[in-house]
Order: sequence, then C-alpha cells, then structure tokens
Amino acid sequence: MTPGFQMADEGDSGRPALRVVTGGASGSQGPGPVSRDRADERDLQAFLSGENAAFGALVRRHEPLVLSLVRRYTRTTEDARDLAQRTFLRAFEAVRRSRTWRLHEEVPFRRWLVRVAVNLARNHLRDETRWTRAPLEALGSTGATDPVAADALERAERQARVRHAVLDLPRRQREVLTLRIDAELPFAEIAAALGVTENAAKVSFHHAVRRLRELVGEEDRP
Amino acid sequence: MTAACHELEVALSLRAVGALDAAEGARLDAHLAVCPACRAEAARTAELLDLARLPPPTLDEHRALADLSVRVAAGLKPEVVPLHAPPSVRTVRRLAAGLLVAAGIAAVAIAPAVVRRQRPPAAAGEAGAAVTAPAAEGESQDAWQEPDLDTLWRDAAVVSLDADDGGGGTGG
Repeated sequence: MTPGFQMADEGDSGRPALRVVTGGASGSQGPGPVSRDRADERDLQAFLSGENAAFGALVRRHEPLVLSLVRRYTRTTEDARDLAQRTFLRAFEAVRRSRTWRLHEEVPFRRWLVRVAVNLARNHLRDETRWTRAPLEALGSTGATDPVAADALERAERQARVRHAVLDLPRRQREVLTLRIDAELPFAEIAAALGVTENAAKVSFHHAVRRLRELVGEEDRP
Repeated sequence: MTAACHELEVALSLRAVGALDAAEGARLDAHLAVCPACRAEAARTAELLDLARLPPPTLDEHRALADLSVRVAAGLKPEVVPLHAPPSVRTVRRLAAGLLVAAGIAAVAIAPAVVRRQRPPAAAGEAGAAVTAPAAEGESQDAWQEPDLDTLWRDAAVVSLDADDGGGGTGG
C-alpha cells in the first residue's frame, strides 16, 4: 500500500471506493489542494452572488502565496502590498470574465493568482530599476578586521550578487525558479500555472540553476 | 564527469529543493555515495539556492498586508456580473470604427438607393441583392458597388438602414 493512500475496491463490500489524497509538497497552505480549491470555489460563488465577506476569506487564504510571489520584485513593503492588491484584483477580474464567457475549462482561483502575480512581477521588474534586497550599506563597507564580520560581509555580498542574478535570468527560468524557491509550489502546479509540462518545468529549473551559477561567476562543473 | 553523472544532472538540481520522489532520490543517493564530484556539485547547488532564497517575511511586511482584503474589496468594481461578455476595449474600438465606416458608407448608400427608386423595376430588384458584384459593362453610371450589409451589420452592430429607402434589407 502506497503511504498516504488508502483505496478500497468496489465490490469488496458493495461500498464505493474510498481514496484519501495526500496534500501538496508544501504543507504551508493548510488543507490539501482539492479541499482548498473547493473552498475557493465556494467563496468565489458566494462573492459573485453578493457576499462580500466571502472574498475576504479568499484573500486571507492566499495572502501568503501572493506575498511570496511578489516580494522579490519590490523595494518596500508598500510596493509589495500594492503589487499583491493588484494581483488579487486582476485575478478576480480574470475569473469573472472566464465564468461570464462560460469557458469549459474553469481554472482554479489559485492558478489565476499565480499567473497574474508572475505577469505583474515581470512588468514591475521591467519598469523598476533593479536592486538587491540585501543592503550592503547596512553591513558597512569599511574593512572589517574581525574574521567573523568579514565572513558575514562576504556572504552578504555573495547573497546580493546571487539575488541580483535571479532577476537577470531568462524569463521562463526566473519564473520557474522563483515559483519553487519563493512560493514552494510543486512542479506540477508550476507547470500548470505556466502552461508547460511538468518535465519542462523541471528542466527549466535545472537550466536556471546552471545559468545562475554562470551569472555569479562560478565555474560550471567540468 | 561520467555518463551517469550527466544523466543525474537535473536530479541534482531538483534534490536541492526536495523535488525528487522516493525512487529518484534513492537512485541519486546511491550515485552520490560513490561520486565525490557529484557530492560537491550537490553541495554547491544547495548553497547557491540557499543564497538565492529570500528571508521569511518580516513583521512589517505582515503588518502592511493586514488590511489587504479591505483594500482589494474597495478596488473591485461593484457592477453585477453581466450575462454576456462585457465588451473589451478592442471590441469597443472596433464598434466605433465600424460605426464611422458605416456612417460614411450609409451616406453614400442612401443616395443611389433614392436614385434607384426612380429607375425601372428590374434594375431596382437587382440592386436589392446584398452582394458585391463588379459593375457590368455599359453601366458606367452604376460603377458604385453596394456594400456588403452583412459585414456592416456585424462590424457596427447597431447600423440599420431604413427599409423604405429600398437600399436592401438588413439582418435580423
């Protein structure tokens, strides 16, 4: 029996098959993805019917995800909040349009959020001057004689270079990498959000790692 | 780098973010146990991604998002969800362009229609057909081609020609 799964065959006792589906790779989102999507759908329908409180539940449920997706691209907490706000607004409008047009494929609200956040972050990156989230000036640029402080400064500098290099990655590589290391999304979900296969997402991630190493000046393995 | 190392390159990157299933992880671990080069590579990848990761959100960041749901709700448009698809900007532009075109063509269309009313019945019946046809030889005075009203109707969505003008029927 596969750990985490229990399956009863129909016909053993006349009862319908029972299957328990484990949650996603990241447990930070609480309930499993299926029950979360159901809760989203319920709250979305309630909001579309006029229950404003239902939308608050949607926002609170996905606030951590959206923040994790946008904060790498913003300078201040206010910018992150504005980008998060725009993400929710755009995602909601996209869902409403898709439901109005009665598209056969109903995309889960969470996937809209990821798509919109990725796009808005990309536009924000394009519009803003690139920066690093590790302010070197806070650590002091004067020569540190203390070995511990010198190591900390060196690490901080390297960290800044790496984080800066993430923003310089090719678009698809950057998106896959940040969706994994920032939002900790499973690769299946990353693939669905970006419209690629899971294998393609994994290969893009590997290429992102190699490219990142080149950008920070580390030699690739022989 | 051996062929086995090359085959496991992608897996090495995925291992650093815990994305291998049990079977893949076991296969890679078995290789790492005998390949110091790949062990070093795995360590470098793990360190690189650790540097790339952002620290957890600060208290300030959480505070900044405290009223996010209120802000988002305030930014939502209050209109009721329409039964039909709301017109996009592109559709509105097309409608406006179609109206302008239709207004210009309608102005040209009405004059010949009035003239055709005075022509022999056979000629008026031919002009009522909503087809575009080249002017026949010998009819130099009718070189003007009647517009495709189905196209006009579709593009403009609101154009309607007065049926009494005899300028051809419209959809509907």
